[in-house]
Amino acid sequence: MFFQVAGEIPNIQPETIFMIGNFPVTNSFLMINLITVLLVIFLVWFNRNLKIKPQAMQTVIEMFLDSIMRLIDQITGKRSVSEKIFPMITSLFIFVGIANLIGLIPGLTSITVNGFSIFRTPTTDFNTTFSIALVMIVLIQIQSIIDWGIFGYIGRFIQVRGIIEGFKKGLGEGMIAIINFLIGLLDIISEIAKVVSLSVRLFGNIYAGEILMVIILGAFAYALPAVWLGMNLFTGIIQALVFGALTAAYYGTALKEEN
Amino acid sequence: MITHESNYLYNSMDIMEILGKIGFDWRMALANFVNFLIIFWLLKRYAFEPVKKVINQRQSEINKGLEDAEKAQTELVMAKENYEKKMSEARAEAGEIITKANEQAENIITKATKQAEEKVAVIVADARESIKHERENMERELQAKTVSIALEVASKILKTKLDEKTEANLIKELTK
Repeated sequence: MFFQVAGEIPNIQPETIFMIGNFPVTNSFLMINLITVLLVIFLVWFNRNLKIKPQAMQTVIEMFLDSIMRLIDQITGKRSVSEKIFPMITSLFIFVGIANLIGLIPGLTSITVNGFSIFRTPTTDFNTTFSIALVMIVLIQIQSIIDWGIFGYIGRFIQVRGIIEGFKKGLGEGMIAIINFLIGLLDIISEIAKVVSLSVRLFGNIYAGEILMVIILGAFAYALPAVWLGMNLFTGIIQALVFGALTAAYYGTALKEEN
Repeated sequence: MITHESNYLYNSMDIMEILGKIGFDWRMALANFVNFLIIFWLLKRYAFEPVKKVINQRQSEINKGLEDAEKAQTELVMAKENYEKKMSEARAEAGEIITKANEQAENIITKATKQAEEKVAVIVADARESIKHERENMERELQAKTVSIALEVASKILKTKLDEKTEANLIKELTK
């Protein structure tokens, strides 16, 4: 017993701390708001200290942003596309990164009201991961519509013209066009599946990490959790990176070939 | 292989129920959706754009600095060339002035020497003339004096004294 710390396995659903009318304010929602407030404070400070001749902090931030730009460059293969999606991917990376790691700050998730933690790691709440994935996929679809035009965009999924043109060329071409038409319909499901796959991947990884943390603390509370904490840090960054890289890749496929 | 329970689960639960089991709530999802858009806008407006602006400003200043340095280098080379040219011109001019000054000095010396020589010649000639005159005068005086003495001697010898008028005529006659 001396070597073990009993903890409760975090609930899969976020706990409602209080209600505003019909709207439930959950602990993960409070944490997102805390992140937003911290971000605003940081941005005010950052903008005040932004100089042409950079200080140490500004240099670190510039290097960080530059490395993300290089990573996006590797995925898209073209700087003009990278510059277009840079704000989106970087915001995503920063937010997911902070959301994954903020829960690791000791004590932050231990503040409780009525037996519930006020703050909960936002990415252990499916609502958060789902909405981030949804934002990304919606923004990608908007950009795709801008790029292809509304008819071009619809034509990517419902390839009726392909069937007509295929049968004009011959029966074989026509049959291939029918297969392409069906593949196009499958692509609609694939677009929806992207939201599910992105959100469930992130949610599953981070939530599982928290559950394992409790289990490890329950098994042996010394040294071993520290290793797992380090692993969680690593996982948090990796998951943010995976999320960002996949979004960039989806974005790349949503644009026209010449891009 | 699908078990009886899982088959039951699969049949009885619709997608919203499954999502509800993992805590999905469309109100929360919508709130998070808006929250993330706000964070995205904040970062874009107050982090990425200012950083991009600062980096571009820095880049343009570096470019301007490099251009200025290049321009300054070109100007320096040109100034050096100009200086060398001016210096060589000045040297040539100075050489010319010195040569002219030497020539002038030589001319002046030559002229002065010539003038001096002429003057000397004139002075010498005048002196000679003067000496000649003096000599002639002296000779004449000496001759007159000699005649006077001779007449004095002659009168003493003859014991007769010539009157003054005769003596003067005689001297005049003898010194012609």
